[in-house]
Amino acid sequence: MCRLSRFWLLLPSFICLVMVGASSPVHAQSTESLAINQNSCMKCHKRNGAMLGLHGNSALAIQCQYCHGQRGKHPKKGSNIRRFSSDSTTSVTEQSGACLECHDHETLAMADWTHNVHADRVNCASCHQLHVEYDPIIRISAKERSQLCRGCHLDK
Amino acid sequence: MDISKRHFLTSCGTLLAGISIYTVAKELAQTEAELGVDQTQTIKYAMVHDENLCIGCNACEQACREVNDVPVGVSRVVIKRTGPFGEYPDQSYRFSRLSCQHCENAPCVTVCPTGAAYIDSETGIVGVNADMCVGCQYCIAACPYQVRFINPVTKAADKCDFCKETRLKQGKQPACVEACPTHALVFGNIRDPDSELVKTLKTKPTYRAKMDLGTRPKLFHVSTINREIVL
Repeated sequence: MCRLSRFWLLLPSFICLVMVGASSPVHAQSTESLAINQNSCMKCHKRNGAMLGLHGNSALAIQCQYCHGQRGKHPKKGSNIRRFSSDSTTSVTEQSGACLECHDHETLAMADWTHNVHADRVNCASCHQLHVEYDPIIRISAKERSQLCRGCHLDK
Repeated sequence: MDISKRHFLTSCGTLLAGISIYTVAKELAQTEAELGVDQTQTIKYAMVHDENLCIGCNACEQACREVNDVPVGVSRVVIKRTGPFGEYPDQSYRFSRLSCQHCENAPCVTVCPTGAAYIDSETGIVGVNADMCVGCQYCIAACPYQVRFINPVTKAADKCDFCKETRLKQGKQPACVEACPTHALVFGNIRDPDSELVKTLKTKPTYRAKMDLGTRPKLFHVSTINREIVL
């Protein structure tokens, strides 16, 4: 009886341990240890969330400044920090220019032809998300994709 | 009465010439009668695809697939993309709709041995009666636009029918036309002078594919007018 009760007590705790371990061991470790998340920017910008995506890979050794530009007098005075969004004050050419520093436009065209037609008209962040672990647009279904086109191209 | 050899040969020659001229003339008269447009028909559906407005989003293809239960692997409508034209970052593509042209003189209907392929006398739509189709694929070989295919589920020849059995029955526009976000597709009755279709045809320069074959297709295209001329 005693042995049995001990068994029933141990089993759930063992299951819990396995579940916690299996949920995302890599994720839990890597987010904290990624070099980019040790960046000085993170002292203030923690509320913006950590860098989880491919660009945070330590092997690439990308710093926040590489894409967002040098901090200059930020945050005390105005600065030329690049902000990646459709309503940003940073021009579309400058935004996509930062991405094109590494991403070759021909390779992008091979991945998807729409890169060519939006090249200097739409900023990359209008469709892509870089800070999240997986960019949702990569696995978008054909139907979602055409709905995305519709979002901007709809003839009212 | 004495018939000379020369006289006999001349008579035979004249007779043969007469017969051959008669048969040729009869055939010509028949084709002319066939070509004569039937003005009594009040509904004749047609479509315009404006290649300047098309963005290649494929919403038409997906809507068609959903509404007409088109299985994966085959399609009733395809938007063919060519390009890019121009130099980066100022590049463009061209889009062309490939689907049944609903020919007035449809080769697929002519070759069909069972009568499964037919031209609907009320609407002018080229349809397929799946129950009568034996899957011989003559129509697939005969169609100069290569838009027919064997439906892997019904095993019958299949193609665009302007949603005759689905959307038109409900009094709606074809699925592709409603799905198009840029209004690149216009569908309507070519016999109705007030229809949007006729107005579009009168205001925009259009072309039809492979007109020289005498198929008289009812799918019109507004040609891409910007950028360089492609030969």
